[in-house]
Amino acid sequence: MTQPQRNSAETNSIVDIEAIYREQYSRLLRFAVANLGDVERGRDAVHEAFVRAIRSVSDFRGQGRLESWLWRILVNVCMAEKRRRVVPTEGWLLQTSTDDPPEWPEIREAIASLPERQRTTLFLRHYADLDYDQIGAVLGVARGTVAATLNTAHTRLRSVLGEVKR
Amino acid sequence: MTDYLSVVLDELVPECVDEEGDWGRVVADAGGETPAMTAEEWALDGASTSTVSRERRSRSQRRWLTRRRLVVIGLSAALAALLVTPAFGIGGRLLDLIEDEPARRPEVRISSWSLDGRRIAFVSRRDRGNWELSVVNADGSGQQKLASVAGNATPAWSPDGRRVAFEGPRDGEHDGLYVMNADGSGQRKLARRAHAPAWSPDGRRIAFIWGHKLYVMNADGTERRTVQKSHGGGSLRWSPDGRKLVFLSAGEGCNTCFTFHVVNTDGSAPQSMSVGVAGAREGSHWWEQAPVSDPSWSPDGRRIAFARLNDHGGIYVVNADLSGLRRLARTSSGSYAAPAWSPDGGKIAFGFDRDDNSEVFVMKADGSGLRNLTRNPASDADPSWSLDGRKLAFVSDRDGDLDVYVMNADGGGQRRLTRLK
Repeated sequence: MTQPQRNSAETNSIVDIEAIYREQYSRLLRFAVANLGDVERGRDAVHEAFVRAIRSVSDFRGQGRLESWLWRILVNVCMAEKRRRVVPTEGWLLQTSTDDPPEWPEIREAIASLPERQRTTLFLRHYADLDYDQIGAVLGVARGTVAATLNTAHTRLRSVLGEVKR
Repeated sequence: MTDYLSVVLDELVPECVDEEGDWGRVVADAGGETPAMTAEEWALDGASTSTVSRERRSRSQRRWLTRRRLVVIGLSAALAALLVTPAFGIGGRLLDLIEDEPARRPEVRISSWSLDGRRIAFVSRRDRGNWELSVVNADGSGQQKLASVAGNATPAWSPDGRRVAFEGPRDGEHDGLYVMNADGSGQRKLARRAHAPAWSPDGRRIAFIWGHKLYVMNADGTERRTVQKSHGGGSLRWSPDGRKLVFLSAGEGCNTCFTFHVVNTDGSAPQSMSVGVAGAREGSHWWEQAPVSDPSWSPDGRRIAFARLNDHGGIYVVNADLSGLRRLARTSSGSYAAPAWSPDGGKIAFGFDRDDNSEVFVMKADGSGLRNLTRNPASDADPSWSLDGRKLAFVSDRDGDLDVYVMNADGGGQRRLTRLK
């Protein structure tokens, strides 16, 4: 087999990708689990995202942060996975074990009913713990847009939560 | 966000702090190479105290890794002797790691010989396109594409050679484990996700790895069951008697180890041999440090041969109960790959690379009688025995591009079969 050569920038990027994988795997997984509603599917998504990242490392041309690029790939993988499958509304977000009664069904339903952009933003903020700038870089929007999107999502969820508490 | 909402959201998704992922499997599935932790010295008993330094692989090492990733493993002689049809025999050869990098030249690896010795199956691609499973007659005629396949898993032929299991291209639409007839017809999806499919010698079952588990299912996709949990893994092989499976995985509970597993197909009697790499960097992966690969059962099922890739490597043989480890071929430098037992169990062919020159070697099963069969300045690799043991298919770029070649078992009569460009 021929040996295509990576240039030094690509090689260094792979080293950095590995570092991100090791340092942030749990955050990446938690985001994917929230997004896909299933731990195993979440693992598959994170795995697939990094496989794609390595394969297309030459496409990363240093614009923006590598970390944001990786998160973007994971977001895309999750979205593609959801498009490929019909995800029942009740299975959204959390696929608790069948032994456990579902928790906060109203919140889950509310999250499920959020527009995709709001939901993804919420997950990136809450489960991935990314700051507004990082989320903006991942989703390709301005910091202010992230703040507004999150505010809308929070308002909706607070409303539901308030109803639950009553 | 309110604290209360935060608490509720936290409860909705489990914490994943204990998850570490499996970087080695990512690398394997990506087919990419990563700057490696290269063991300068490495002992299979883990007793080495030599340090490991982080260094880029030399060009030679990278080339050899690529070649190794082209390699698939040997054929089942016992079944071959029983079944004489114009179909394909067990393609136990496997490549779990394959480069997926920009390339304009054709890339190719051998998959299997047909049971009648008239055809050779191989996997190739051009211009970074899809990997394709094709066949070519042993006289070079009749080249025919059968299906698109995943680039990092070699198709597994059923023992009667009439069907082939393969991993579909990971393009989001064709992912999964498929089975089709040997002529490419009747393609059917058996599993949504699967890696390293391996067909049982009796043709009734297919084993595969996905996620963190080793599975076995009926050949029609029914009655899937978990054989063993694993830390990812690959290089899955059935023993010739169909009672055991061998595979490699990351070291369990040890970031600087790899583990050889042998387990009965019902999940009982699991045995493992974990090998540490002394001085390795914590957090690095076994695949990077101890790239051991290509386990190959001897035809009598009593021994397993495998290769160590890096310098100071060799061809090793261990008993089926993982006792009696021996290094058969060793040199002070160079990389080894793809040991393939001859159908009579008397010889082992393998690839060896040193100083940017890879050759196909053969030796007796006791390690004596080492011979270079190719003696060519080009890349010659990936040997695969015909079922009668009289010929070896291999891959070479001696004529410019990588193509499938064939030679007699003594190295004579070398000729090119394909023209992939």
